[in-house]
Amino acid sequence: MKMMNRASLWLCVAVLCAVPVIAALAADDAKNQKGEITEWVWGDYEQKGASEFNNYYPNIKVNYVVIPSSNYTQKLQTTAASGGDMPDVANLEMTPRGMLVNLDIWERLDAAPYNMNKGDLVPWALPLISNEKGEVVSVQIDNCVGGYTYNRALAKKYFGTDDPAALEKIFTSWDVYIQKGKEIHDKSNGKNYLFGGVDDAFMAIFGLYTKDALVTPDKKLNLDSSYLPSYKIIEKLVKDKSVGKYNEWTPAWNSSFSSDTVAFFPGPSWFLTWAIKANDKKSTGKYGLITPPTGGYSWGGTAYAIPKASKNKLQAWTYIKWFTMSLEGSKCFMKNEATPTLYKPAYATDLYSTDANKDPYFGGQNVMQKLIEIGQNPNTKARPMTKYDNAISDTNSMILQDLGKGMSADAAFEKLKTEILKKLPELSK
Amino acid sequence: MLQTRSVGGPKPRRLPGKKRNRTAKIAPYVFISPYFFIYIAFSLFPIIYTFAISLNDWNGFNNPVYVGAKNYLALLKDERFFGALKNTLLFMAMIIPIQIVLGLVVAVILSSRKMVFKHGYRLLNFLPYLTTPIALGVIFGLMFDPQFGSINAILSGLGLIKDNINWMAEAWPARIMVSLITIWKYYGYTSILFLAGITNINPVLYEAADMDGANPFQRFFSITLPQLKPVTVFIVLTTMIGCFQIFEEPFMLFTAGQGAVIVGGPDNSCLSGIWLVYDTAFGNVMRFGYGSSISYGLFVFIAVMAMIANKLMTRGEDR
Repeated sequence: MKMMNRASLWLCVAVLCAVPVIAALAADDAKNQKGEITEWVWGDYEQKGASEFNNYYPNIKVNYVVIPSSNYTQKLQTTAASGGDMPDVANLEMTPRGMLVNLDIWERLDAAPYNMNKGDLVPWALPLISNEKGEVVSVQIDNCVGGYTYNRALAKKYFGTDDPAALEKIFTSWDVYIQKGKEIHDKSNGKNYLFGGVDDAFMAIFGLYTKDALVTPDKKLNLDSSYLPSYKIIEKLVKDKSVGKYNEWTPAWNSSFSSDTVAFFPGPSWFLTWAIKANDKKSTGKYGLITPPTGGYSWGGTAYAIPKASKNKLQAWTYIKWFTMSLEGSKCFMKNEATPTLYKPAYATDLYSTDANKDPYFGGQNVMQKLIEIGQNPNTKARPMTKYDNAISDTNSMILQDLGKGMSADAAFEKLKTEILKKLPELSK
Repeated sequence: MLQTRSVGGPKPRRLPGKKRNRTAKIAPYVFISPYFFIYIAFSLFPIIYTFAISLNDWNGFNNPVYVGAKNYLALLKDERFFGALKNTLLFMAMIIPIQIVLGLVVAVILSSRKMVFKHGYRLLNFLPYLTTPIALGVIFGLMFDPQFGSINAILSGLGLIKDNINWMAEAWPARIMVSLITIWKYYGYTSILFLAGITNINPVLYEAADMDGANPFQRFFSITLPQLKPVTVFIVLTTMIGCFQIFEEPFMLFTAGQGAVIVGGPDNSCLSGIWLVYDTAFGNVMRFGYGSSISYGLFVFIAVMAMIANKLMTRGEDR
């Protein structure tokens, strides 16, 4: 017994001594990772973050090739077709991602040798980085969870309060939004709107219907639980003249932010900086952010993936992991882009909840913390992607114009399906 | 006898007779070979390779799968393909007559001896042709903006419209918009071709007409127009082919930061053949093989249309 105790004691001492040595060796090993990787980017965030990445991994040199986002997929496609050199890290924007992740050209990241820990990411985001088989082949950096942004002055005028909590108590369902939209129109003699346009309203609604993938595994269109209910709401809004005629991303739409005629805008994380603040630079305390009636939604985002053809896969994974799944990467992203990542452990720190994030632009509201709160709402989910999503979404852009002109939801829905089948004849109704 | 001698420097070496003959025979081929190499590399090879691709199911990433004539059979049933052909014919009907008349009128004005600042106007006239498509998309996107665009403001100011026209969301206004932009961009190029044709007309014909007391209209209709027939045939054919290749203008208008991406424009009203090829091969369905078969379908259609047009315009010339 005495012998056992002594042996246990020596074992404990050995383990206690070994742990820091192993940890130090591991850290040293990380520091000593060597190599050179190439990433194709369209923006400058990665280049901004590279210097901080190199503080941790000084021996991994990162080369950036700038490719316009509008040509990015074609560049990947033509490079692969011509047998050219693929990047070690590819950026997959949300719009074509469903199509891209389902190509058998990416490394599976939730398997050896990468063994990505899925538990480190916000659970609802997993469908956004996985292919149709459920394999994780990319990691999205930005948490693109969305709420609804509102104009505080119009909220006070039409709803009696501009307090986010009080507004959330009023706007408990989309029926309330429809009713309030009609009130806004009537009280303002058609000068003010609930949403600026059909596009904005659609983006605010569509992400709430995430139950089913848009195409079933046996290649049938499955839009009844997503597009149809969204169209039904838009039909009512158009009928009540609660939506304006601002088309997203047009100069008129850009100016609508400062026009003080629109009560609500969609509000995913990136939108706050790149749409609202960018188009309404001089305002202070004008906007607020609330949770949509049935939880949040995800709109947009950029994910990183490693092509199978990459020659520096482990270095590429180290790079991706640092940017997307580390506290340091999350801090860097918050500092440079004012956007949270999907890395869950960062939520346990004060990175987003700190009072320093209370933004005067949003009337002192901590919109970062609000976004995290919306993201943690159990109803916030993302729809599983299919390779057809982008084609379906493109067709929807055309149909939204018809809805804006007063087409009924049912007619628009039928037209949507017909147009999709013209483009994708391999699918069926 | 006058003798020429080289002064200073070495005497040029002369190749022996047989070798000189061979070099003289080869030299022309060497000089024209770069054209053929470039033609083979950038035209002939892609044409043949496109046909090879059209027989496969291939997205660029996977290994091509040979499918024979399947893509061509699918093409015969493709509503979008026939819709694109219909759009192209509509664009031809809307663009060719106006572009040719406008180009001709401008060329006649610019060739007039009484015209002042002729060279300056010629340059101005040609500038739209040099405008990049992305700039076109942005500028015309702003001008045709349904709410704030200057076009609606002008039409409304003139009392021609009551409600603003949504150029970006209605089929016919969108087609008119694309046609106007195309005409604006290419009429200068057309006028340069006409100008070259007018310059080549023998001035003796005009002198004779002047002596006969012909007025400017008679000179134009009896001399200029008939003499320009070969140029006109060339312009009609190339403009027709140009209409089949309409792509950049509508693509930039409906996809380049002027609202949501609307492939084909409202109700596919501006979907041209080339846009369909691009959308099929490089857009969101990524079907290189099928896109290639659309290219060949377009090639056949363009060839047939060009042959018909040529036949109609040169009818009676052989007799």
